[in-house]
Amino acid sequence: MDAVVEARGVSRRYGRFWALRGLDLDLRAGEAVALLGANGAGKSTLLSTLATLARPSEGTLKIAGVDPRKDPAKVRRDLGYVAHHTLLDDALDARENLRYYGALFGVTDLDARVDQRLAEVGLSDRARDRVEGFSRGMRQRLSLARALLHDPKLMVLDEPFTGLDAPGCRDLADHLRKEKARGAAMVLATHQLDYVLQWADRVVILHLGRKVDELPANTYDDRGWAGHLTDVAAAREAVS
Amino acid sequence: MNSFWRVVGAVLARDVRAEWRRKDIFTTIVMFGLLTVMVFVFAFDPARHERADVVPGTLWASFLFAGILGLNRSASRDSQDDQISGVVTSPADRGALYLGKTLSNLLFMVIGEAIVLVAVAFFFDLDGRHLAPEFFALLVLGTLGFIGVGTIFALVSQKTRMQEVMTPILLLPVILPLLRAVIEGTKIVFDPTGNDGLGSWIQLAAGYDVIFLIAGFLLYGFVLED
Repeated sequence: MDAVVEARGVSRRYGRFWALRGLDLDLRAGEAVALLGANGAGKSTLLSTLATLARPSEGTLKIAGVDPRKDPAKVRRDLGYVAHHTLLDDALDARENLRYYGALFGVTDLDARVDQRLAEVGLSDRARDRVEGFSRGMRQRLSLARALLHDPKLMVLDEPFTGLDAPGCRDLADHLRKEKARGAAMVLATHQLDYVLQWADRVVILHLGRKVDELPANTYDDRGWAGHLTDVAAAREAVS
Repeated sequence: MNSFWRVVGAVLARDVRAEWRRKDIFTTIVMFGLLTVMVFVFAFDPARHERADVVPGTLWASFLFAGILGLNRSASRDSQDDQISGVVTSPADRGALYLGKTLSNLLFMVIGEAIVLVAVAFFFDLDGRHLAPEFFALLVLGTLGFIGVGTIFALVSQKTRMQEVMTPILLLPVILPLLRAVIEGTKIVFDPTGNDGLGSWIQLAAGYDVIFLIAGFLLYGFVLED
């Protein structure tokens, strides 16, 4: 399968503070990786770097074979970004928001694509309603439709479940699972692991900007990332 | 339509649509512009002062202060719900984004200016003789340059901690040459004794616009992404 993300020694510094240090990550089409760690572990920095919102200070990064520093526009054509902010304009209706982003992404056959994505996220009947009247769950589904308009190869999701109730989380997880089955690669950070671990392939544990462990999602147990962090620390101590 | 103009049209259409529903930028520009005019009317009795002494300052001070608030409102709207990240992560041509944003800001400003101008014409008893083509040339050049530069600095301000306060601090020193040109030009237009030197001020304003609009077009991407 095609490599969608190839990160080698990626670091990101803000002033004198290293938010991310020497991270390696490989991701292929149809694979999903969940990033876990405490606040400040570097999850959002890594996601921002993958989403081209931040440039790596060191290391090499390729997305779908392209270095974002050399050709950011080409990388962005293959990128879908979902955050806890919806990136939507409240004053516009659902359809207008998607048409706007579709134009920015150069989506062809835009009307048909908008209809298709609205139907997929169950918002066809609210297409002409302004986003300001939407619930948090509806906004997040529309945000997902926005990110998927151009059939991205890589989905970058930063706390996409924030503020959603349980049915909303299940609904969003189902949509993400379908996109993964379509062949989209995904990197996501979330604290709502119950909705991710059944279908994610791997878990990456970050601590103070470094990757401390990477393991298959089905081996991750309910001790949580802190428990795994303790295991890793104990193993390193034993070796040294 | 190629992708460049499609992006310009999308940004313009989005801003106009949102403004049509919210009317907050328009209201800000008109209300603040009219209030500034009122302050000048109270400060300088129109019956006791020459128009050439009072009208240029009244007009451009009103446009400037109202426009800065309008630009800030427009930029802060783009930051709501982190819409800027949505734009940054798109492959859209940065020059097209700048052009679309500048055109929408320009449209709101021109509509606001028209209303403020009616108020100034009423209070200072302006007639068709004063509203000559040269005056409108200065109005267009002044507004275009102000909005072209202001669109960039309003975006810069959104990325700083001081936000709205930063726009005038950054913008005013940069537009001083343009302000000088349009105020001096407007003084000449309203001076009944002749219009010597008007062409030079119009040329200066036009030159400023060309340089700074090209700079804005080229730099918008850097500002957006950093």
